[in-house]
Amino acid sequence: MATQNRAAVDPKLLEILVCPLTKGPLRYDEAKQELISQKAGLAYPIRDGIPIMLVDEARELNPDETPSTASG
Amino acid sequence: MTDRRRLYQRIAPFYDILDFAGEALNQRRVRPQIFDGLSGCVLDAGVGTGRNIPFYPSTASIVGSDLSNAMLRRAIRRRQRLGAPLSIVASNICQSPFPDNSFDAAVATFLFCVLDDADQLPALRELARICRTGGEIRLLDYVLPEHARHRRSAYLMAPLLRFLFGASVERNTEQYVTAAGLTVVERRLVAGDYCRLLVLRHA
Repeated sequence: MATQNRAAVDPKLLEILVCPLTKGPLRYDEAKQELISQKAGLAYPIRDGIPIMLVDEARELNPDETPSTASG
Repeated sequence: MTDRRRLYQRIAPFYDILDFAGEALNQRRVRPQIFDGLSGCVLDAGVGTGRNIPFYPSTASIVGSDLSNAMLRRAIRRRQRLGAPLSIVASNICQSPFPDNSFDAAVATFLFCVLDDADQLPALRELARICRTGGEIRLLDYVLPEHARHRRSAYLMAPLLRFLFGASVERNTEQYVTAAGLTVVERRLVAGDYCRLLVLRHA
């Protein structure tokens, strides 16, 4: 399901976008079509190829999604 | 903020029709001027349905942001039709997803007349943060005309503009410029006295 829009994500955006809350880096989860801010504990969805960088629209990460090295 | 997002999510399918009169009367003449001479990486803040796309300079690569992804889906269709170098992201101009100094210039057409009074300063501060020092921030907005007859018609139109677009001709954007660490380098009325172009730089 989530892979339908995979081709539409703009690589230039993936390069420049940061978390709107922490201004920290994001990790692109291609399978889930999400941009993960480890520092904020939020996953920003990508819908129809559009990154939705709105805190209100982001999904809170589950504790098991947080890697042991909290670098992000 | 959420109210504005809800409004634009709702009107996105009709936006270009609702906005037709404004576009025909004023905006189409004015929009080309605002991108004059810009190059490098340029932010089009409040890109909406992509009305500025035909006027992007070939020397610039553009990032378009808007609060409403329903509006942005229309911008994507317009981008496909016109083949413009535009990257599109949904974001809030008061809390944007860009690093410091990421843009060579920033443009916002008819965005600040839509932003609530409380969002004017945060939005200006955010543009100041993400635009590199020396880069121009250009704002084009509807303002209250100086000519008495125009002013009366603006007051008559005000409830409709507010209802349709959440827009007002009485936003005091300029009063927040200094507090945002910016300075006005140019202030010019365009399209009669209905629209105002503000060019800002870091103070």
